[in-house]
Amino acid sequence: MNNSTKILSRKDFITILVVLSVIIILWRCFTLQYTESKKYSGLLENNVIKERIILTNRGSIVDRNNNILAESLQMDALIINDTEKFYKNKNNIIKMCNLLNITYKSLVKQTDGKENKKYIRIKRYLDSEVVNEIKKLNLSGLYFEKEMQRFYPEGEVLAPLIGKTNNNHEGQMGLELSFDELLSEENGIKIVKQDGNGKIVKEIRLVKQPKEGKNLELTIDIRLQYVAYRELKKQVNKVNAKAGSVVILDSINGDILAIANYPSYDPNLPGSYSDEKAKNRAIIESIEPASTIKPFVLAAGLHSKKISLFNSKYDTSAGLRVGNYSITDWKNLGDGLTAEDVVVYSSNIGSVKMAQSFDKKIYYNLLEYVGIGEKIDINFPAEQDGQLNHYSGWDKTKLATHAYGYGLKTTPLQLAKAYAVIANEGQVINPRIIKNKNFNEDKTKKYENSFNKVKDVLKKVVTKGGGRKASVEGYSVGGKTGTARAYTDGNYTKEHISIFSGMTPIEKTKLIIVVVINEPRTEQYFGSEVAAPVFKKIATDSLRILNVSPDNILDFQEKVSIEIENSKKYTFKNPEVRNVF
Amino acid sequence: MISKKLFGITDFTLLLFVMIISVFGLVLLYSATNQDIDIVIRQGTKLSFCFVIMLLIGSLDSNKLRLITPYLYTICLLLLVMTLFWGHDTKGAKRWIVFFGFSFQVSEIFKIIIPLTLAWFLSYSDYNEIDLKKLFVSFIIIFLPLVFILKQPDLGTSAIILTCGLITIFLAGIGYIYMCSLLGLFLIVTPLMWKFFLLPYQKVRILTLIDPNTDPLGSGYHIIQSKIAVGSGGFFGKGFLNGTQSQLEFLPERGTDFIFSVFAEEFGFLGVVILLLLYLVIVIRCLHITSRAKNYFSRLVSGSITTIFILLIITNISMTVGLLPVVGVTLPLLSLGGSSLLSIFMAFGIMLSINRRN
Repeated sequence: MNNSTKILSRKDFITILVVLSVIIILWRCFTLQYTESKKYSGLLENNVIKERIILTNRGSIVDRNNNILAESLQMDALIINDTEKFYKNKNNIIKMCNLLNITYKSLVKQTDGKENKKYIRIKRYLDSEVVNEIKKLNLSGLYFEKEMQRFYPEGEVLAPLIGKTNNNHEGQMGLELSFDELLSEENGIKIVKQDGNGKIVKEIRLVKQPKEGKNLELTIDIRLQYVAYRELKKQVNKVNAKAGSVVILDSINGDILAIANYPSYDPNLPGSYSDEKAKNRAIIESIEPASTIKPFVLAAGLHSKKISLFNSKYDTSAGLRVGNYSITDWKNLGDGLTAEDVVVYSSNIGSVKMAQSFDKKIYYNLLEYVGIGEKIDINFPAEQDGQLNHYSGWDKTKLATHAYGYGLKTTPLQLAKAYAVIANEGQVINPRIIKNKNFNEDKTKKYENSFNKVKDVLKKVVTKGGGRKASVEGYSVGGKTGTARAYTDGNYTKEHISIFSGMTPIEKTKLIIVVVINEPRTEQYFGSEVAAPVFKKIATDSLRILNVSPDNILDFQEKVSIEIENSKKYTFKNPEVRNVF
Repeated sequence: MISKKLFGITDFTLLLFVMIISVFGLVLLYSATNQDIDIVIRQGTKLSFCFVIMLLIGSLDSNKLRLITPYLYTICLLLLVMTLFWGHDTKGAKRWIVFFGFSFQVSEIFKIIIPLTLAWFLSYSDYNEIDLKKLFVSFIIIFLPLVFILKQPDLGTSAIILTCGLITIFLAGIGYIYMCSLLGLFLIVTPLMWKFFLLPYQKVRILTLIDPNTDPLGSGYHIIQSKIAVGSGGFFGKGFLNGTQSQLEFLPERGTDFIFSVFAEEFGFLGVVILLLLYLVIVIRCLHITSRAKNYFSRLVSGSITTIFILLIITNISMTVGLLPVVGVTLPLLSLGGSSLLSIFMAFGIMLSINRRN
């Protein structure tokens, strides 16, 4: 009996405990459900009624033929919001990991390491196929969050020009940055009723209509861009150069058909980016134009009437000293060089002597007219002005250096514009990157006669001078080579910049192509050897793509007949083959 | 009366109210699972199975029950060991074994097996005084399964089982000197356990248990959501299937740990009072059986079972209304899950069996 009383007494003890607990519980429920009920109803509303962003597209960037260069697509990010629920089905989670290309271990690491267990972003930018496969696995504790991703179908071919967006889908560099306002979308806002997994149960009302970004139509022709990039890349790698850039300009209306830069990066792969690779040298790097400036010396001279193409003769055999400098040529070009020869054979001495023979103001005005040292303003971030100092500051030495392309600076794009003035025989066109925008109908021509003559001289540069490697079969080509000393941190280095600036076809010029190869590291570094062949390849393909009719059938026929002659030297054993010719 | 006794129906009122609550549990489950009838049917199947088990145990004589107790203990211990080897692996823990497509958590059963075995052991000798030797053996009975459960690892269930065992020892009339020395031992052993035995994640668990604010988006979040559910339910509730917190899935573990919150949101304070009254009827019937129990074994078993039943209810509800930190205790008869249902129905079966002699 002793024990039974003990149990009973303990039972009483427990009874008291139970009664007390029940009273506390009831009191608690009463406070929650009666006294403070309104407060909790309010908290419930905060849970359920939420503001949601309505995503919309950033504008696309397209080329002149509406090929997409950059576009935004709605993608999904995988979010885990309930790890306990999520980890219930290991087999399917492993299947999911396979779909996501991640390991189970790394997944566990990701979820265990997070502070906020209600929002763990496992992977971003999933396409709908993967999302559907994962949804089929019927896992719980996760959801998909819509997000925008920017795609660049042409990747590295255009990256330095188009630029890219940052993680918030805002323009970060390149045209994406400078035209951000136009391209930017405005996301809408709506009020929704949502469940605990963030799924929308009901849409209550629209607060703000989303506004899509506008499309940006470029003058770029992706076919030409591709050709330019391909040939540039090939050559830069072949001559082991540091970099290179190509500009293709439509000389008739100023449309920039291609701006290629190498090295480049793929904006679709975040890891491939580097500041150096993102540089658009054609627009943001000013270089000294070296010999490519000589046609303008000639044009100014012709305009001054102090120089005539064939009657002005120059002796270059003895060399030339200007102030403390001695000016040399790439080889001794001898005596009796005509003004035309000075450009065709690219004589520094001849060019300086020419420049000394007329008023420097005329030369300066002409350079200013063709746009040297003046920003083109195509609206690109960090676009360079180039550099042209006023002639009043030109002493003897400076005049001399200006005569063979030093002491003034131009971007490859500016150089293309300047050559377009030659091609148009004195009419200035403004390069533009946006299609159908501010087309300058100003047909005023200045220096028409001079440029007309210079144009012929440029043709000769290609037929018999330093530009022979730029010649294009079936088409007339004019252009000028240049080899500048590379310039870094205020000092000239041992390296060179090889330039070729040219136009084709000569009579009704369609294309201006400027090729710049920075610091080739081969024995041959002359523009005639390094840059001119690139021009040839790009021009050949571009003219074919644009269906420009050959204007140099004669040349072409001549060449064919030479080939026939050559073939006759070989004895054909098979008479059938002979019949072909 | 005889036919009733044959089928184990020795206390009709107890049986009736247990069935009322558990069938209502199925209805509530329908709401808590977003009207997933499949889960309700599965739970219903388990319920019927458990009901049969209850009647089977209820039809046993309490003396026979006492005789098979050590065998039950051994079988369950073996099953526990099996779980460790062939257990179903969920997130690194092996707690389940699968029988005919139904997964089963053996550790849950020990909530009942431990009091039963302790009562068997303590009523074995001629004298009922608890001495050091008996205390020692009692602790071996408790800790043998605990070792395997801790190894699964399942700290929560281990703590509950330890509590169940201590309740039985307490009711058995352990002297206050032993109680004090046990308390002292606990105070010494705990820091040592902390230092040498617990895994880092278990330590974190215990820390959040003590202060839920350290994990506001984990268990802290659960408590907040549960309080919102209960509070927004108001005095009369939002009505069946109309609980926003549960229907829109803000409430975590709606079917199991937080089924009370689902109930309180949909049926209000009025419903809570009624539910507690229903539970009270069962508790009163159990106390009645205990007080009329004929021998030491029966008294100890029924007393322990009643106390455990009450404690589970109080702990679970306190947890959902934010009076206690979230410890994975389910609400008897209402929460989803076959293993806890089986242990509860086994408990009532034992009560019915004990009542047979009264």
